[in-house]
Amino acid sequence: MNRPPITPKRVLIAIAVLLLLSSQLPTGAATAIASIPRAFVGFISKPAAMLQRMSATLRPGRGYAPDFSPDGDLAEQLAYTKQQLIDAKAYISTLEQDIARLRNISESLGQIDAIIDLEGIKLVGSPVLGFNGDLENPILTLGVGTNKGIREGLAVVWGAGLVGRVVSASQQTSDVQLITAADNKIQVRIAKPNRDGLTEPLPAFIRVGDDGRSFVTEDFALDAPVETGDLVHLADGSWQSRARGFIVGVVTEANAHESRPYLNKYVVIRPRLPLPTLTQVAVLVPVD
Amino acid sequence: MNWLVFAIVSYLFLLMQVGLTPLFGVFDAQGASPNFLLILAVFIGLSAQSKTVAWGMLTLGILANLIPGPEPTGTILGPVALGYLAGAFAILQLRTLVFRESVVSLSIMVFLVGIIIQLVIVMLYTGRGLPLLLNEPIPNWNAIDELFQRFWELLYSAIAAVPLGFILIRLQRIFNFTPNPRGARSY
Repeated sequence: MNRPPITPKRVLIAIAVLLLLSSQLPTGAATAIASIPRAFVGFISKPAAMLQRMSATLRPGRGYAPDFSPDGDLAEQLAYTKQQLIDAKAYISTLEQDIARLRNISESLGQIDAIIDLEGIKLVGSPVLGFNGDLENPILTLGVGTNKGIREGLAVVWGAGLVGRVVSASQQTSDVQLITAADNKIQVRIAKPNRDGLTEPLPAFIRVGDDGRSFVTEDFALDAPVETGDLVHLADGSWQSRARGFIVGVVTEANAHESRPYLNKYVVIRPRLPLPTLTQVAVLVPVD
Repeated sequence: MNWLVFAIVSYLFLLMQVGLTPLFGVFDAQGASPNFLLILAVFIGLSAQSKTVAWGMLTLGILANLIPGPEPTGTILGPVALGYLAGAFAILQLRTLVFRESVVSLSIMVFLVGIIIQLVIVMLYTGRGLPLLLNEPIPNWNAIDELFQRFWELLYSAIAAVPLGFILIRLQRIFNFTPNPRGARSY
């Protein structure tokens, strides 16, 4: 019995082999082979454009319809790449914010490091239990006492900023008078924030202003190099020695004095932190 | 099978595949869209005579292959067509186990046969990037990601197969499927 040489099964197998070979050809050759059939399918599917318009109307901006043009696939890849670029930019923006935040922390730590001589001193952290609400004699109550080495006269800080000093201490708690207490007059040094060493810090006495939240000094000559943004460091001998250098505040105003406009400057200094609202502080406890 | 009716219905499903995917697609990180050609292919596989199934599914596979795919510079003819051919052989083995005129059977077979089809497709595309073979990987191609995405597409297609299968089963008469002769061998 003579079998025909060409049977449907053999043709199917031959087509399958050809398709397998085509699927593993170099990209240029494979796409060249498929270019004519693809163009044909693209031509006969042109009526689908009406469906695509309907889809775009019902769901604007959603997804990509197949594009049979020679660079249609590239258009989709380009859109994909653009989206990746947008995502990458958003990620970079987040990283930049993190970097800025870490830079601020690093600067604060650098300020603390420049100010503080921690030899013989330990920082005892404490939660703030409460504030008495009195602007003339503002007192913070801390959750540490003599059990942690706290005693009268010790300075209390937060970061590089001076908060106040301990006025009484019991076993478990202690009271801290803020630096903005009405009677406080503090000897300070005013320095440029970049600490470049080219400008000498200016000594000054500051007192608490009428608002009970800031300090003022009227002793500077009109041409004194005191400007907004200058840092005010503690230099008072009546405070714990290790507290010298901590930041009392920042100069927020440095204008001609109202009464003596041609002679003196009126300088206003504000603490960097809202002291009555602090929830955590640290006490400079000497290491015996 | 009436090949003219098959050609017309295939053309309609091709238009649906090209035109309605943006409407029905879920375009998020997983990006699933229904595969209308697969649904028609499985319907043909369940209903047609054995020796017609392979040719019918191969034809639909070639059509599906010619729709723009993962290669950005053009179409690579072969992986999808061979996937559908492999699906044809699978469906010929499995269809004796199911009630063929049921939309539930059609939906389940779309999913099961679709798995085999997509595995073959992903395998052939991934094979292009193997150092032992061509060593020309598809840009932005990750086999695992593709399998995950195609799994969701199969799920979506299986769901879409219910309403479409209801219509196709009603149209079986116009396809003029002839029953298998006794003792006929399938490919």
